[in-house]
Amino acid sequence: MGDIWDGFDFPTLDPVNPVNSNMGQAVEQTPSIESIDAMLVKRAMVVFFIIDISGSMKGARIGAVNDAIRNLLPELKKREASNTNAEIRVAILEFSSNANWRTLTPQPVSSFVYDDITYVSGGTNFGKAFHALNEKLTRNAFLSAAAGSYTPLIILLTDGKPSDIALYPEELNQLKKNSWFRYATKAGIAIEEGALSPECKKVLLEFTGNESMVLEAKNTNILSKQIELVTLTGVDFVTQQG
Amino acid sequence: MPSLMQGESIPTINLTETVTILQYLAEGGQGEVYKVDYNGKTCALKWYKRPAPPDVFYENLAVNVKKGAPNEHYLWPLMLTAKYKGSYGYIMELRPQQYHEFGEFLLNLARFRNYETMINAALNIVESFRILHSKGYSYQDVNEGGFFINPENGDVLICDNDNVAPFGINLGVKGMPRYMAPEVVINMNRPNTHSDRFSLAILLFRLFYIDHPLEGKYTIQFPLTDAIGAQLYGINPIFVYDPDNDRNRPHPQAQPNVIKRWNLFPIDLQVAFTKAFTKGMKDINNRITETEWEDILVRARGQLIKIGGREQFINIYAKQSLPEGVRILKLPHYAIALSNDSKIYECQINQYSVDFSKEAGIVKQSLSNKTILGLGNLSETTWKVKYTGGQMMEVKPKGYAKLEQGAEIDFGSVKGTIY
Ligand SMILES: Nc1ncnc2c1ncn2[C@@H]1O[C@H](COP(=O)(O)OP(=O)(O)O)[C@@H](O)[C@H]1O
Ligand SMILES: [Mg+2]
Repeated sequence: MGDIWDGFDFPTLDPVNPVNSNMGQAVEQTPSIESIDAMLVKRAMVVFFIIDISGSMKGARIGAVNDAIRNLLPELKKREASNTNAEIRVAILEFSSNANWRTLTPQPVSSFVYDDITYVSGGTNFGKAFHALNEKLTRNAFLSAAAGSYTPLIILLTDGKPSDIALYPEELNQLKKNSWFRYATKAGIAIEEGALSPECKKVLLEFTGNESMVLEAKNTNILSKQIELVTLTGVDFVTQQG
Repeated sequence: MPSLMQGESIPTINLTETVTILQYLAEGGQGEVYKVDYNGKTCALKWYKRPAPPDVFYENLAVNVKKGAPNEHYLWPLMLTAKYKGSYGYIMELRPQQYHEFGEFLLNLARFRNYETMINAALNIVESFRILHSKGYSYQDVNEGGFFINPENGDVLICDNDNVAPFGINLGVKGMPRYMAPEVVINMNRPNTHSDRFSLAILLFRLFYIDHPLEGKYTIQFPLTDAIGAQLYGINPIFVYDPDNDRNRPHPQAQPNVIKRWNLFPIDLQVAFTKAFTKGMKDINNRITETEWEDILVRARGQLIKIGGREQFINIYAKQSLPEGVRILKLPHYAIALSNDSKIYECQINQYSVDFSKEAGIVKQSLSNKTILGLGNLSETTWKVKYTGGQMMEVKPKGYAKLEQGAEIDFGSVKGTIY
């Protein structure tokens, strides 16, 4: 060790640590800049896809949904990679007579691998989907990211009329009491027959609470565009990029 | 989808020249950016998305083109296009490859070469703001998207200057969430010089500590709705290291960077940021001005030395044994830690200078005895040194002052002592 630096009558700084002894303390080694790599933890933004897999979705419809989500992922990954505000995550719920989460927790889009939906059958029980969604829309379940969450984006894709017309309203009522749901951006896409069905559009209107968020995909060709539009606009709006 | 095609030509505002599209580059919220040919020179064109911003915006841009860039750090509008296909744009220099977006540093896609470069980048950002503000302008949309930094030397280029306007004028922009001043968040005020200073403090904080100064364990528990955002960033923002309020301390999982780095950098930065985000949070008179930042950053840089090639911060406020080969130069306004290859700058030894990049002195070891240090005179002034034994010496430009304990150096307008 060389000379002792005694400190001096420098202008007082509020939070300065009091010098506690007259023994000189050793200089603490500065970690190198390579050792302090940035590890940005971003607020999560969960994009929920709620997908109707009832029997009527068989064939081209479910194929178009698979294709649309597959095409969307690279766009979401691109946004995720350059975005310093939000970590985009994906959660997928499929429903027919029952509801089933394909993602056990929301998956970061950066590493998400999409498995095509192949098995399609059963009725269109919206109530089951609403119930399953309600269970996970909490800080203790799907909105538990370390750095907190943005309001989620929830997209409901269906072609059908409700099979549980007497039961789903109560589940939807329960869901509407969930404040995460209330604040979420909600969109509904009525696919093919669904676009022509007043019952289908009624559910979507009740679900979104906003006529302009109920979109029609009168044929499967435009489904991909519609899904991309609502998802990317929703993500950009909430995460305020650009 | 890009709205202009490769090869498409657009007339400039005076219709005497044309801009030819070479390539689509990127886009932001307001516009698209293209690589273009302008009079044989490759430039960047910012092209507004339709509906194009209103005429006042166009006119303001025309005024800014005429005024010229505040300094060389601005990718300033050089020429405006005529209105074309329902929109318009402006030409600026193209960002060179070696400059990276600010966000890339946050995402660990770009890394500063060393701490010195990091501090120099902060100084360059601050200086650009100082000059812009001194001309009566404000930036109004300070956010990470507007800054390109060269990680090798800390050089900074500022783009997205289209909202720059004279004090008192606002072209409609509010700014970007997480960078807006509280009074702007709650719509009490339009962006101006004072809100620029708040946003600048956020930008500098993130340059050093990555995480956000107002996001901690309190704020992360809420869903970020508009109303809650207004609360957390506008009505009742809480600084993560507010000495009088520990509710919003950084969370180890969510804000690990600031926890790791807070005590790493000099106390001067802690004090400045604490003031900026406590007293200065809502009181514009307590916001840190650019002149203050320059002073703070020069002090911080003066506490950074190299020991055996490794960067080391020396806490000049602590009572401590200095490592071998380290001296302190105490000036009336600065204390500078010195070791082999340390530099002192014009603003530190010339009372009348604000030049933080002009090197005025450099420390070198004696060739025959490495324990003997000398301060080489890189200035144009002759220094006078008085050693403890009483001998006086003149140090002409290119000469050396031996850094002996107790030596007093008269640099002309300021005097310093070696410890
Ligand atoms: N002069 C330039 N040279 C190269 N790329 C640029 C230049 N200016 C802007 N860009 C790129 O274009 C993108 C959008 O530019 P920006 O001015 O921030 O748009 P906006 O104001 O619409 O958000 C930026 O992310 C940046 O990478
Ligand atoms: Mg902009």
